[in-house]
Amino acid sequence: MSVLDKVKLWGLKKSPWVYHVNTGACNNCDIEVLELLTPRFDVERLGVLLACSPRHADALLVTGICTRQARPRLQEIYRQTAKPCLVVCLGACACTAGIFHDAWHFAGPVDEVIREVDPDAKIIYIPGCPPKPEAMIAGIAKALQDL
Amino acid sequence: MTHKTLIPIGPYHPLQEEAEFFQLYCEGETVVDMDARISYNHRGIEGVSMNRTWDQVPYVVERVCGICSASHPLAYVQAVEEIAEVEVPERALYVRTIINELERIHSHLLWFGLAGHFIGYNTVFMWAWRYREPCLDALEVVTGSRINYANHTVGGSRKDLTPEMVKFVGERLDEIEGPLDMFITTALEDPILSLRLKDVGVLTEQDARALGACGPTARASNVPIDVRRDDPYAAYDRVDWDVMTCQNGDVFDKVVVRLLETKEAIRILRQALRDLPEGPVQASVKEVPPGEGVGHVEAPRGETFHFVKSNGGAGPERHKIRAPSFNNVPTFRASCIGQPIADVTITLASIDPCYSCTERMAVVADRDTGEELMNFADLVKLSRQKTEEIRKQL
Amino acid sequence: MQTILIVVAAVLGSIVLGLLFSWVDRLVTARIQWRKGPPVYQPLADIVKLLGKETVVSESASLWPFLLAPVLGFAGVCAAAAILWAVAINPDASFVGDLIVVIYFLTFPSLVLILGASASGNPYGAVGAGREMKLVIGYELPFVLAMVPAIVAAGRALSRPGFELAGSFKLSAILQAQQNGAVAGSLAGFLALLCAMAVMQAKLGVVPFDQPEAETELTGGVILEYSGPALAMIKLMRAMLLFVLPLFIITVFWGGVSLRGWGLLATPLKVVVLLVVVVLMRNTNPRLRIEQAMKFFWFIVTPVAVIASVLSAYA
Ligand code: SF4
Repeated sequence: MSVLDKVKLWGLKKSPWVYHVNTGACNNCDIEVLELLTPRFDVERLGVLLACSPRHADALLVTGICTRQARPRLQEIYRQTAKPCLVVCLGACACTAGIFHDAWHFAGPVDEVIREVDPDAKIIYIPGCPPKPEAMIAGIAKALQDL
Repeated sequence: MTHKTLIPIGPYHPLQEEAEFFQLYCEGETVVDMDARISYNHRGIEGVSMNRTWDQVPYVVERVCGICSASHPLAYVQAVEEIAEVEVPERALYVRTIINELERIHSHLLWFGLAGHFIGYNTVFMWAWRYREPCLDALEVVTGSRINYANHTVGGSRKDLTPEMVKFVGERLDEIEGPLDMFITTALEDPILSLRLKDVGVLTEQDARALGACGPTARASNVPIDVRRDDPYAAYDRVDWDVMTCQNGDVFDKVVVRLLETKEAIRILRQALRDLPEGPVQASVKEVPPGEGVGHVEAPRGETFHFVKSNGGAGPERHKIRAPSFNNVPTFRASCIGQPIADVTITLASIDPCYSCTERMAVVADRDTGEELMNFADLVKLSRQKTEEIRKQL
Repeated sequence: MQTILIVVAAVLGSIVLGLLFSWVDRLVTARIQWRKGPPVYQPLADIVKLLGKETVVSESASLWPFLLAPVLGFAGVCAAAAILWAVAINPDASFVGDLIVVIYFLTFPSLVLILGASASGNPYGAVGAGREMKLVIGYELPFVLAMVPAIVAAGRALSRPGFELAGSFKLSAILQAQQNGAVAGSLAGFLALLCAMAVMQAKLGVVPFDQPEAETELTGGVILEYSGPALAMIKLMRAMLLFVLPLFIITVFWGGVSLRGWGLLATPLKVVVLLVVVVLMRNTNPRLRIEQAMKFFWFIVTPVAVIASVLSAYA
């Protein structure tokens, strides 16, 4: 690995900006994501910021089952995101559809929907309903370690 | 001719955590018309719950909306209890009250923080959420989870409160009571906050009544409706509390109403913790006979309503949910038009909309084959055709 | 040769100090909000990461203006920084009218954001550009007016008892005039300083004047469409402004930069005071509406600046 690559990787590890996509979640996962920014968890100390546009993002936090309406939009958002980027399936819904597996508006698990656009997308899973904020931090930290 | 721009808010917009889509028709910075599209979040929960058993459904409806995850199950279990004619133990009623009021505090503080965030006042966001933490701790100790409580079951309450828990909750309340007073003073006295929020997005009393607004949205417009008082459930008729209202219906009043309600919730909680009667928390329910039942609960955002129909089987035959945001979203048109874009966002946020509750689909389908006959575009075409025809006739 | 050295030092120094300052900004903000805040290398890490990412350009954007805008803005801030540093190090480097040149360069960031956002082909960008334009219209006039007391002071100092016009537009003349007392020491100068600080807040694009970006209304507005290196440029430009603007204000109103004797202590202190004011303002105020912001500049800041100019003539 050249020095340049190392520097790039350092930047990526130290400053992951996340964009939050709700594809049909119940809100709890979303609240817990916002919770991460607030004083008790304060992920800014790890360099994590909530980006306001997918263009600025390094990771997409996807919450919720992928509904039929959200499916094409999730794919579009993934295309719009500046690469390299991670996809984080947050919560039981995004990982496996959880309690909603037989809902009629469910249009395929998030990872499959993303893989349709980009077969080599880096996808990480943080299960839980909702995952505790501690679990989210641990999950993202682990994912960054293996970059 | 003025130039109109179409500004989309959403579907993915950091304003709300959820996907929703508003189209604002603007002239310059002023909104002249708007249109709401929903259903990005529609999951078909009513359908899911009709495939579950009586005891499983509370866990499904809890996930209708994360922030109201105590109100929806409560409304549902009340509906089922009505069908099965269960006598819920006194202690369970108090436990339900405690959990629902804790939820109200956490929800209102959450909203206040977000409102601060929307107007670019991040300090308020952080402070409000910091003071919300003790409340979540209390919920975690009482129910075992920070947000999805899974505590209301048909016939009572899943978990009982031990004396230690009662003490813990009381201590957490002491912790947030002081800051809350400070917040109310700040909100009422901060000159810039009132400059930014007063007379913004006014919903008149008339509009509020005509559009059927509910919850804090209505109460800020001087419409004193509150299910807790009008049709008491749980232990609300056994404690002493008041319905909070404000006069003007602007965003500022919606802030004030919510903050006052939070204080009121603390008052209710203190009484409930003090008077908690002894006894069991769970009545046994053997079966649910055929019949229909209705349950409604004052969620933090307004009245949530559940209708359940039973055919004597293992689960509901029909389950209908109407969440408060469904009533409140139509008020947008009354309160947003004529506002500058900068105010629309906070006005939209001011009803504390919850789209995952509200989402639904309209499908015109063939009754036999289930095939979709028309979609939205077709319907629009249809309606335009009709206009054309009428025009020709004239 | 020396000039080149100074320019390189000025640009690098401004980048380093600017990044440091934006860290201080974020740290103090975090502390006000009961948080721990990011580590010291955070702004650098952000820039490095952005440089390593791809730049997405949407189909509706016009490529060249869109990509050129951040570069131009960055260059403008660099130029302003170079002039200010050169004068601070060696007052002889000052030339007639350099005050005006610096003011001109300092409007670059806003102008390029308008350009870039209009070229981005995004409706939010367009609204953001409109707001930025309104803000510029609001604050440029008081900003220039606020310079008058300093210029008058310089003119007086140059040619007692009369008044020399041309020479007084020199930064070195302004510095010289402040040798026995800063411009801000007089009432007129102090009022002018207050105006300039209000404008600084808007030029930095932070609350209460961050309407062009307003992430909860316009999802980033003017910078919404930028990604990768182009965004890095904008972020860098912002970070440098965080240092260059206080430097400019100190030079004009507050006795300038000196690195000898007491100056070694006083200069950083002055910069820090200005920075803390910016951070506090930003954390204790909500975002104003755009027309409220314009009213603020036109009906409060401009009259104050006018009063300051008139007062300075009679001092
Ligand atoms: S995983 Fe659970 S908490 Fe998260 S969105 Fe799904 S149902 Fe809600």
